[in-house]
Amino acid sequence: MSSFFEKYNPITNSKARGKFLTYIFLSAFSIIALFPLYFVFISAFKKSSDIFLNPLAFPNTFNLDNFRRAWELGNISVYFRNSVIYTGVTLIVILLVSTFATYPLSRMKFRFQSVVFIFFISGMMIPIQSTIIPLSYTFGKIAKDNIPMIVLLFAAFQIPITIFLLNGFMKGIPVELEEAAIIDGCTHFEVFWKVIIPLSTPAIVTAAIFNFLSIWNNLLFPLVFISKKNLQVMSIGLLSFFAEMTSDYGGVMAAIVVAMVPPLLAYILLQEKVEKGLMAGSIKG
Amino acid sequence: MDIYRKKLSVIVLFLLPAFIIYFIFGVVPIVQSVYFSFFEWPGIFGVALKPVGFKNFINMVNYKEFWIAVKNVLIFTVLNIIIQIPIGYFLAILLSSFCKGYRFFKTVFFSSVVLPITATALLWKFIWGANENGLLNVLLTKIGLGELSAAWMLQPSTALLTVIIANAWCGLGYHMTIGFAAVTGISEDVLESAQIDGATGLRRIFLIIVPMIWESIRTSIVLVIIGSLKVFDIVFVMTEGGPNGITHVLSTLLYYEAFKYNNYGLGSAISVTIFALSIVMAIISLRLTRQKEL
Repeated sequence: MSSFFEKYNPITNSKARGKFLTYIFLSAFSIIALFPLYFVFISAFKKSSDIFLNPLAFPNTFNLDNFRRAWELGNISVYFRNSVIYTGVTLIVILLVSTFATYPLSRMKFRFQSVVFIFFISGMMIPIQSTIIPLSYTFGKIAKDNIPMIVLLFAAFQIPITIFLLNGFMKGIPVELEEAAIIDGCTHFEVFWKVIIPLSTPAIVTAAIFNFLSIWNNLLFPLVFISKKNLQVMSIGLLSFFAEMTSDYGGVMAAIVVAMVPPLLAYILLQEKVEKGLMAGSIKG
Repeated sequence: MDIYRKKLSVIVLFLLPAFIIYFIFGVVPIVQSVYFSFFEWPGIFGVALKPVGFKNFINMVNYKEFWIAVKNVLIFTVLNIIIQIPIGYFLAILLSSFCKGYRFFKTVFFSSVVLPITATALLWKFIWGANENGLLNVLLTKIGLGELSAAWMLQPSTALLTVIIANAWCGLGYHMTIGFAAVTGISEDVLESAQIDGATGLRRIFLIIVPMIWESIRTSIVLVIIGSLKVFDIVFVMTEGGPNGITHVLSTLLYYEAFKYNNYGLGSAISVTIFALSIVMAIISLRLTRQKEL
């Protein structure tokens, strides 16, 4: 027993001391890092007038009034629903057309294949801001409040990175499986749908997460192209809610929490996948 | 098999949907944006473009706000490198010394990366106090330092800093994760033999670990530069470029000139500037990441 204490005593053992200090430092830093989130989450349950009286105190009761007010009066329910639909549809479009395009790029042979590939992935360098003026000039009239159109506009920006992420993975799928299917008489589409897609699931999930976060969090496109209130998504909805109800701190806090929950939940459930997805997307210029 | 792999009609059919969307809504606009920068347009549909030569660019370089935005982007970049990378990598090195238990801390530090910037920016507005109320000021008063409280986001000396700190809070975990992957990739043998040679503590970090993960650090720096060049959301939500335009960055200036003041020509010139700078940075970043993989 005494040897146990000697081994792990931070005062006498320098290695244990290092570990102990590391823990202390990391814990202290975690508190700083989580502090803003703690503040918004507890404030969402408090009365507006109480929030800044005792900002760090835990709420006395878990009052859902703020959420109710934001959800119903503040239109957050509409924004949230729109965000879910907009994000879902955009995600499906991006993944569908990108997997389609990656299949010939990674598994078939044709002239100028590498040129076509570079043409696609060089789109990763396009900064979204730089296209916003021409887009609103050319499509401003058609795209204004036209969700399917905005979906296509945003998809154009995510296709390059998605193809890039999928290509490396699809290239690595062994040919034997594909050839067995071909010999069995499968058409190209059947090979693609029944062999390539199921085998590419890990890469598709990574790409899906990266895209989900980019779409859900995007502000610029909805800002320029959506003006109707009942079509607004969360990112803009939050801003208009904040502008309309500046003094309703509790309501705004609740709305912020609602906007944060889906990405946070995705991260907590799929930790390493989300980290991988965002790291992989880092190459996007 | 070869016939199967070379069937052109299939190839074209599979490529077509992505090609059409990407070409019409991605490639054409970026080419147009360069073309646009030589024209003037009042922002009214149906009104024709008026060719003006290099006037937009001349206006841009003579525009005081443009240089403020350039200066802010530079400050933004430098401070973000100074804040995010050392702290992020230091956390990564500390975390890498755990065999177990690092997961919890990693989740804590990374969680701010996934949050929507609009929401995060609003949250930070409450911390700095966009109106008279602000968490920081309330806390300062509580601990008896009330005289230090200030209108952080409204006074010129700290306005940009409030945005930079909020931005660093969002991005720190990202660089920690890159750093963590790099540090855990160093082979045990190297670290052990360094230990035997007497490299411990800070010497171990600066003489052994940092040189070995230098490639990742460089990549992180380039990523911060690219991110700062394009930063929009957090500035737009937190300060809207204010007070008096002193916190504008290139993309918020572009947005305001084009969509608020209808100076589409000037806006286009700024877009082209952002585009040109990001291409340079993207090429550098591709170079660096490729080097790393080799």
